[in-house]
Amino acid sequence: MSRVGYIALVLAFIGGGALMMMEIILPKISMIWFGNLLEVWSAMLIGALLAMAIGYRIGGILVKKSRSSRTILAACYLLNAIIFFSLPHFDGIFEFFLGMNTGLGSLLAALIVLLPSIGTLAITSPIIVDYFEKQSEGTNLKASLIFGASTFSGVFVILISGLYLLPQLGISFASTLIAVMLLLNVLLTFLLPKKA
Amino acid sequence: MSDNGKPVNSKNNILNIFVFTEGFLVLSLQIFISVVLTPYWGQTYYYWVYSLFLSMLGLGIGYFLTPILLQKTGGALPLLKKIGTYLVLYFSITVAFSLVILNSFLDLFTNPLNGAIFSLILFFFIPTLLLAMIPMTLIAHLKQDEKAGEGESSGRIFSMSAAGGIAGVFLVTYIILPYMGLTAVVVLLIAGFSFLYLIIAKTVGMKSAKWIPVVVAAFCLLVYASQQKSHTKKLASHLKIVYETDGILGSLTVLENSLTQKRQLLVNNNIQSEAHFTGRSMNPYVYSVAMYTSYLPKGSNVLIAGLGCGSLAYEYGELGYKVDVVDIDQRLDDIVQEHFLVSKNAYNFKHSDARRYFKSSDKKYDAIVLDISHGENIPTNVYTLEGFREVKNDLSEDGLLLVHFLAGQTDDGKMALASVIHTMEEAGLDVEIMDFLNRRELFNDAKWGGKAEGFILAGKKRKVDLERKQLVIDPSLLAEMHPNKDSLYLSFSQRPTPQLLTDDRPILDLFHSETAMKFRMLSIALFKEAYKHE
Repeated sequence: MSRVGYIALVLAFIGGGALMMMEIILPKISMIWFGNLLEVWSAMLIGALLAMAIGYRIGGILVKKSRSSRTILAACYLLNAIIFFSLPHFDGIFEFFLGMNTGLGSLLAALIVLLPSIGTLAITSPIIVDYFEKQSEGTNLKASLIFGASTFSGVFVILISGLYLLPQLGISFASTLIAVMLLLNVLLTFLLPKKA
Repeated sequence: MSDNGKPVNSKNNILNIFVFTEGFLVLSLQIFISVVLTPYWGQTYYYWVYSLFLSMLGLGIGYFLTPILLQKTGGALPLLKKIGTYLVLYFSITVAFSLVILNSFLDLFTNPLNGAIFSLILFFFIPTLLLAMIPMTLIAHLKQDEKAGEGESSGRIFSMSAAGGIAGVFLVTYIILPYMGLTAVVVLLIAGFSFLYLIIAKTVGMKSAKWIPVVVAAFCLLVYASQQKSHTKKLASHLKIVYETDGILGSLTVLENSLTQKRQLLVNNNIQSEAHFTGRSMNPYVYSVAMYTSYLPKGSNVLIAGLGCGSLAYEYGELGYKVDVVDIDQRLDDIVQEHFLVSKNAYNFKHSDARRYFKSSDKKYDAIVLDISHGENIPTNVYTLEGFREVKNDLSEDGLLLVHFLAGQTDDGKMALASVIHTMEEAGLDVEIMDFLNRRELFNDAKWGGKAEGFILAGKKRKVDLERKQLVIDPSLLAEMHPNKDSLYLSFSQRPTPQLLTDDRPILDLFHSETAMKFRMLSIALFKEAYKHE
């Protein structure tokens, strides 16, 4: 496997872990404001899926149309690093929607966080697949390795965060740790060629 | 036109429908399995972790296996054909015999968590793994057929799959499950898997034997319906289900027992509350809680978080208080009136989560009762430093907070209790432990033999000695509850070093896991007893 191939795998692994961590942390923060209601859980799930649907579609289009895939990757990871750093201080967003109907308020609050975070993380996946496909040898299905790495990172994050990170160190520490990992991803993107 | 001569638009539409259905099925299956398994194994913190873990593991393995299987089967279309056939047959057959399988698991696994893990592997992990192969196979198909780049195809395919997921969550959560019940979800899923299979059959160009898996699926649906019917008939003759409904918040059942003349409210087959046919409670804590606040004058404002079967609201109504009740489950409001004979006039129902209510309400209460810890699910968002501060803000100057809490006789159980007390104290409340079950000290009585013990935590804004208040006490009740009549308070000498529960570390459900497990084991024993053959 080429150097670009290894970098692409690391990017996918960290990006997938960040996506899963957002899916775990945001409902916990939302529960403080909107409670443990059916509407809140559905809003989180629908918000995450909507962000993914939009992000993947944009990512697929950008693979063809963008002039610098590397810049897009770096921008997406940097934006997410900022969001994860500031996630424990997002109270204002939730407070703003507190007066609204629970379902709508929690969905709007979720979308404000999820569209720029999960949405942009989803944009990165097709771009990384493109790098991996064009920069590595062999005819095997490259998307399976990238999406597999991203999903297994999610498995790792569930176990680590569910059994240790969140109970022992708390939400703030976990989100700061992910933010640092995402900054590492930003640096790694500079080792990639400008375009796949 | 594409390379093989088919119109591109028509091919795109089929592909979009195909991937949309796949995403729809993944999310619908996830919700369905959660609703089916919770009444059997409960929903502890560890259940949540392992179900997420197995879901992602299934997807990951599915993605990784696809290229290997593509090589073995000789291409995308033959693999899709196999996946479609296996999915419809596997799901239909396992669902058809789900009752037999799950009931035998109840005998096989003494630890509910092990039962949950094996059930998740059988009913959820394997279909998820197969479903995960579909998008990857389609990416391979597009690469092979249209020479499309994997990056572009993966963006398009996963986008449509996520859109299908949104439709699945919306339809199952808000329409099918609440209005049509679980059987309708089974019909939807079997129809969905059959539809997916038929699209594959059409794409591949199968002519013979195309309908066989669909006929098998339809037959399995009949088997499932007949199993459900025969299961209901196995209920012991003195028991009768007078109300039953499914929902994302869990199944709600009202079970009538003609021998003991009581009705029980079950949430996911776990006894939540019980009352006599007359509507009066059969739980001593209800009378104790009413007694401990009975010094308040008529017309006092009282808030109860957690309606249960409405007994406490009824008792407070009898004392002449103005009662607000907040609960996350709207269904309970109708159930208590119809099946537990509590008048709608006894209380004012507010459909909300307790924490949200405390955040958004500025009404002051003379007493607040948190009765939301009986059972498996601990509302960790309420029992935090910030949560208790908000509760304290909603108390009047001499207001009293009563928390009905249960803890197992284990290290974690004691840690849960010690941490809740510590957190309440840190929030500025003066805390005492109060009894309703004839004890002198917590966790120090052999007769409990490791079971979970219930008690009431009294939190006061100002130091108020309840023993000096003019309580309306039934002397026989006090004698029953307190061997030591000199004190209303219980001691807790085996107190471990507590942890502070905060919004940043809301970890009470972790400490509560063993207690929740004990509840689940008790409900499994009761379930087996209720459904054993006569």
